[in-house]
Amino acid sequence: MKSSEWLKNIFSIAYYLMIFGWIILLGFLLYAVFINPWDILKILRDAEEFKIESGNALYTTLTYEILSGGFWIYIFLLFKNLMKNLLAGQLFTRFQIASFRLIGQLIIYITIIDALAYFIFRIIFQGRLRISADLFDFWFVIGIGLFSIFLSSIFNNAKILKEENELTV
Amino acid sequence: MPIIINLDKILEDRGVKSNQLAEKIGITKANLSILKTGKAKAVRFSTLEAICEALNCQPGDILYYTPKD
Repeated sequence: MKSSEWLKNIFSIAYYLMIFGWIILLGFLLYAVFINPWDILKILRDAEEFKIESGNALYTTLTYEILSGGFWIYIFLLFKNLMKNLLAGQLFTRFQIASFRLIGQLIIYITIIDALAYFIFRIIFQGRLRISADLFDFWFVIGIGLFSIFLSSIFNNAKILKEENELTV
Repeated sequence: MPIIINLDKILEDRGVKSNQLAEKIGITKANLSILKTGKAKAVRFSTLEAICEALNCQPGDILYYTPKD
């Protein structure tokens, strides 16, 4: 199998796993709201970036995770569509340029929002200040977003060169 | 664009049709149309040479420059 096919399949699997995880989170939230929050608290108490010890913290975190997860699923959907378009044949199209730029921008925005949200949650629910800027969790993902925007500008240059080549008689 | 393609007039003067020229110089009718309508971004020397040879003219008869307003 070609590397591009592998990448497309890996992204498809990751996309469906994310949807599955998102549905589980939604189930947790609905269970916590309508049945019993303490069962969910037991499960999630030490699983998150900070200790969830109250019902309010649980609802807020779960709601935020669902929103943030939905955003990531949308980014993966965009990337899945982009891979499909890239493998379909035509290269350096407007769709590909716009997709790379949008994916990069969304990755950067959501990563910064995620970091800020956890920073605020820690202050509100644990009363302590802690900035987490792990290389892998934050800077690496920001780097991926910037690389995607860079790819968009490369594709844009390639599109101009391709058009010039096509219009050379 | 300030470079004007004068191919239509030369073709008319020589009594040659576009498709005949395209066939003679070995380019597609679509590419010749791109050249005639001024949409081309560049012209290869080999194409220019073939056109000049086929129409018995000089490059300056086909292309001329008009300054922008």
